[in-house]
Amino acid sequence: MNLSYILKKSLYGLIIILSVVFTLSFIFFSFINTDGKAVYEMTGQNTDQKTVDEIKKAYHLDQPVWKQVLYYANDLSVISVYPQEINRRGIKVFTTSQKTWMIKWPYLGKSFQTDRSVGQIISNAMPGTIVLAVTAIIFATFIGVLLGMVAARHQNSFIDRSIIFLASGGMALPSFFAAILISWLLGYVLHHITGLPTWGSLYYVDEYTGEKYLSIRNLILPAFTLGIRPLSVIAQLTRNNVLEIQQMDFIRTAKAKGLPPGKILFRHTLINIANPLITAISGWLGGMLAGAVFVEYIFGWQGIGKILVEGLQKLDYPVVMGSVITITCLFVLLNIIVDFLYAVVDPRVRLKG
Amino acid sequence: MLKPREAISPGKIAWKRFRRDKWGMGGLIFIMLCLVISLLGYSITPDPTPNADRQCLEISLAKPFTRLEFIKQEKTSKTSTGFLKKIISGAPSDFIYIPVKSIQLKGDSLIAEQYINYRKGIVDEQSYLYQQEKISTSSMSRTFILGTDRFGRDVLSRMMIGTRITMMVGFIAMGISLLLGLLLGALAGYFRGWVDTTISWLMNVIWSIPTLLLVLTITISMGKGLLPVFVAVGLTMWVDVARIVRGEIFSIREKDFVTAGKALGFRSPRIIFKHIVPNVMASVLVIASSNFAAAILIESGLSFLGLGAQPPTPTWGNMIETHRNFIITEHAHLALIPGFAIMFLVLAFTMVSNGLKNAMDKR
Repeated sequence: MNLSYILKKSLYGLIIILSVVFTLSFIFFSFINTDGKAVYEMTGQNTDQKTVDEIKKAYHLDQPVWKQVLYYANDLSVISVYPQEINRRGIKVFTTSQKTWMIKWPYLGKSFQTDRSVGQIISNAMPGTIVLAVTAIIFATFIGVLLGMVAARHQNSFIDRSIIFLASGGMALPSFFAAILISWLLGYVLHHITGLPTWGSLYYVDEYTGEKYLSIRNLILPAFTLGIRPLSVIAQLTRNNVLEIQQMDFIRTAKAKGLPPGKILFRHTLINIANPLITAISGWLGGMLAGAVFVEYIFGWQGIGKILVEGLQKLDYPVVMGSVITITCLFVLLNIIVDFLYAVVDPRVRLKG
Repeated sequence: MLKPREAISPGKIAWKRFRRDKWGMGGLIFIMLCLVISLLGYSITPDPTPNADRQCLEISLAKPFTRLEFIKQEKTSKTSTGFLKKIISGAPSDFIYIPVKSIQLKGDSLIAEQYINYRKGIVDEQSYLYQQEKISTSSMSRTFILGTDRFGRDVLSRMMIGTRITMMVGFIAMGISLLLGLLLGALAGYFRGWVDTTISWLMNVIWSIPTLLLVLTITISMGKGLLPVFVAVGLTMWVDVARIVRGEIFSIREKDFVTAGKALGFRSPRIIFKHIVPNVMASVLVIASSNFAAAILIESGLSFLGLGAQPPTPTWGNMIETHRNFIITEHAHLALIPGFAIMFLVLAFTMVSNGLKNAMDKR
């Protein structure tokens, strides 16, 4: 893997992130400000026209759509240009007669409802979502690969058929319904066996002292729920790929050499399904950042997904938009990292790139 | 004399293979059943009022297979609905239904033991002057096969009308995504060059945004309702179709029959749509049925969040949302029935998609 490969991929990723930001903000601004609905959401229905106009001006809602998109992108960008009088935190690089150039953190605006900065809300919620998604994908990968290998080993047997059947069922289960079902079954009906709560966040805050405690117990059910769909995909993928690779000549050679089955499995079979597996896992990790929306909402798990749903219900547009853009950028970044991972795992990519 | 060998089209071969696939056929039959239910709609629902929204709070949360007696009271204002409209959007009822335990006729008045709360068995004795108050003198009984929901509405009817919304979203979203996907995919694959670069860029951008989030963005900015759902789901799912079509056309355009078409002086649209597109239809059919499943999942999620069709329109998603707190009570079925319905329909489409893939496998 050489430098130009890394540069090329990073540049392409940057272009995609920029396009994504522009596309999303364009969709957003071309619809929301038509009737000033967004403003009434903020101030209540009985606001006089003058106040509405002033608020519209403050949030640039009176400008044409393309200008709003540019304003938003300017706020998001690390290097941005503002009119001279601006009280935004950052390093002022240089000031001309009218404009200030500055370097700062991306600015996502303020919540309509609480007036808190959206960036702060999101960075508070981010760890919860990441912990949840990573736990779920680790669980799904281990169990999925294991089930897939078991199914492949007992091809066309009863075990194989039931694993395939369960995997198809897992794929068809809507994540919000899965969350309801699992919190009911494992958190309520079987509570005396599992001892798991139906509801809760990563941190448990003591009501008297206000201290925060880490509560791993609360993580188990949401992570399990979130892991069901990727688990199903990974199990099916592993099974099909293992079956395909088992018929390859090099496996027969390995067997003929008298290698132990364990070594054949790990050194020859699994390494060859790593590539499609990474694709699936990374695709699902991204999908899970989004799928976490329902799971977090139903399990009351403090994360971006829950914030997004609450924003949707209160029509808090800056929060919704900020979380959508954050999750999407994470997703794109993840895909770039995965592209590099391919190169590490697969010599064909490494040498060609 | 030699009989000419009967020609079998690839479509027929695929169908023959597909018919042998138990799961695929099962899925297809289930889909057909849902289709019939959604087409017949109000003409077969037990509750034919618009949106199956006959609320009767006295009998809320009745168990499945509850049999109840009603007396009917004529409403003062009557509406007449045409036959076609009755099937498409239902007809408002001309009667008020009063749930009763027993009735007795005494002279010109009807004494009814009327339910105040069926679940708790609270009754109230009321006497009506049946001729003046336009009340039927005999009771009629109705069975609620799936019970009633928290507003006393017939769950079975709401499920059946919900089927219609689900199928409609699936079809329209699939239609939009197929149209866009075929067109853009074919253009990119056939012309290459800057056309391909532009379309691929667009596909990559949409591909990079998680589907649910893109759909959420579109629906929240367009407002609540069904139309944004169609637009959003259709606009995000064309990418899957376009990817497949573009990839296949890359290889097909090098085939001899395309060169022959060019040599004969056919225009590009004719070559694309008459010679190339039919060749990719097999894979498009597979992706279409899996897209249908994805559309159902997304729509149900949106209505669960309260963004899709608005109440009182019944959708499977909002039925779950309305009743999800009942899951820890004895009325768990109110949330479970629509949930499993979504799951089975999605499963059916996946089975059909897999069956098609196997049946049309050229190997």
